[in-house]
Amino acid sequence: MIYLDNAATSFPKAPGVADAVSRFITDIGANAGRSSYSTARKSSRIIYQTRKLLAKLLNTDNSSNICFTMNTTQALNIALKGFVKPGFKILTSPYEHNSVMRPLRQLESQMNISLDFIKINNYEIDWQHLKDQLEQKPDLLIFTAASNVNGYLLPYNKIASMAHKYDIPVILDAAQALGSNPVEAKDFDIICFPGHKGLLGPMGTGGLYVSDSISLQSLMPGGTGSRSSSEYQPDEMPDLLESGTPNLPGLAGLQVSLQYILDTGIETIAARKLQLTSQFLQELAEIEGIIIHSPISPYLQAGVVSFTSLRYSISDIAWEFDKADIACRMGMHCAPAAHKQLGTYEQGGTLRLSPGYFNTPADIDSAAKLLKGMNK
Amino acid sequence: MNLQIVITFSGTHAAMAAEDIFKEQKLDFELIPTPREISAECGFALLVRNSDSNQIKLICDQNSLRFSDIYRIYYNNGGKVYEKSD
Repeated sequence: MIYLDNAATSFPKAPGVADAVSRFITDIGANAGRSSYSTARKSSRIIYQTRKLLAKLLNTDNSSNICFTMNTTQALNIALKGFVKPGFKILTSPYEHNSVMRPLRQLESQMNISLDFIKINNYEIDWQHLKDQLEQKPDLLIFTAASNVNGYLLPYNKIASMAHKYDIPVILDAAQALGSNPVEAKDFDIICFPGHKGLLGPMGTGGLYVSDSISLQSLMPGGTGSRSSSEYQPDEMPDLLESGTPNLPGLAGLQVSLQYILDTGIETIAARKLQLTSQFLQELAEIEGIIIHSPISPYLQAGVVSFTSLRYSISDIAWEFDKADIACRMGMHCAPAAHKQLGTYEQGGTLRLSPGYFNTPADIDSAAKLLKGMNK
Repeated sequence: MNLQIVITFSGTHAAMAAEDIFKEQKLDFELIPTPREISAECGFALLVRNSDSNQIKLICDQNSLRFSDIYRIYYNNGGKVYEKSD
C-alpha cells in the first residue's frame, strides 16, 4: 500500500516504536507511579522520560506541566472545559476541526458562551480586524496551527503574540503542526497535541502543555498514585489532569518516536514533507479539471493537499485510489467549518492526500499517474 | 547514629526528577516504598545513604525539586525512628 493519509495518523511509525510497545507489554507491564518494585520503577521512568522529551521538543524546562491524554480531542476538551466559565467570549479561527468546534458548540449551548471568528481571506489574516476583535477583550483565543483539511499553516506565533499583548490566554491546537513545525511552550498558554500524527508514535497517545499562568479544573478526578490519603484531586501538575492508568505501552512507543524526531530534526522532517507536497501540487496543476483547495506556497503549507475534480466526484476518485491501494481520505475530514471557509462544504468536501516523512517521490508519482490516467 | 535520609514527594514526576539530580550528584540512593510511619501520600520515597540532611535539602532547593518532607532515620533500641528535618 502507498499510505498518503498522514493527516489522519502517521504510518509507518518511527523505527523502534512497535518494538517498544511490544517490549513494554511482554517485559514490563507494571503500572506507573504506584509502587517501587523494579518493573513499576521502569514504568514510572518511561512516563517521566517521555515527558522530558516532549519538554525538549516544546523548548521548556517545565516538563511537569505536560499531561498525557489519549489524543488531541481529549486534550482540547480538558483545556476548554477546565478553563471556560459561563458567559465567556471566545475567539477562534474559521479553520477549526470538530475537536475544537464541537466542544465550543457544546459550551455555547450549556454555558452561554459567545463565539467570534478571525477573518481570513485567501490565506491572509485580516490583522486590523483581529486587532479590533482583541480590543473587545475576549476571554480566550483558541485556534489551530494548521488546517487538517488543506494544510494551511496559520501564522500561529504572530497571532498568539498579538493576543498576549491584550492579555488574552491562547490555546493552540497543534494536531497538524507538532513534529514538523516549531511550537514553543513560551508562546502559548496551552498547547494540545497528538502523539500518533507528526510525533510518529502510537495511537491512544497525546497530551497538553499548560503554562503556570493557567489554572485548570480537573474534568476527570481519580486515582493518581499521589496524595492517596486524600479523597480530593491533587492540585499539582501533572497529576491534576492525569487520573487512572495511562496508556503505558503507547507512551513507551512515543518515547522512542520522540527521540527519533529530536535526532532527525523537525526541519529535516518538514523539508521532506514539503518537498513531497510541492511535487504533488505541481502534478495536480497539470491535470485538467482538478481544482486545488490548498495553499501552494510552501510557507503556508503543513503538508496536506485537498482537491476536487470537475470531471469526477471525489468518491469516484477515492474508489480508484482504494483499488490502486493508495490510502487517502475523502469528505469533510471532521472539519465542516474549514470546508465552509473553503467553499467546499456544499459539494461534500474534498479529496485529501497527506504525505509523511517516510513517503517517497515515487509514491506521489503513483498518485498523480492514477489521476492523469482517469482523464484518458 | 544518623546514616540515612528519606525524602517524600507529592507525586511521581517530582520523585523521578529527584532521581535524575541525585544520580548527577553521585549520591547513594534508592527508591523505596514510602515508610508508613511518616506518610501515606505517595507510593514511594527516596532513601539516601547520607548523614547530612542540610546538604540534601540544599540540593533539592537548588534544583527546584518539589519534595514534601525530609526525614533523618535513627535507630533506637533496635527500632527505626524518623525525625522530620526542618
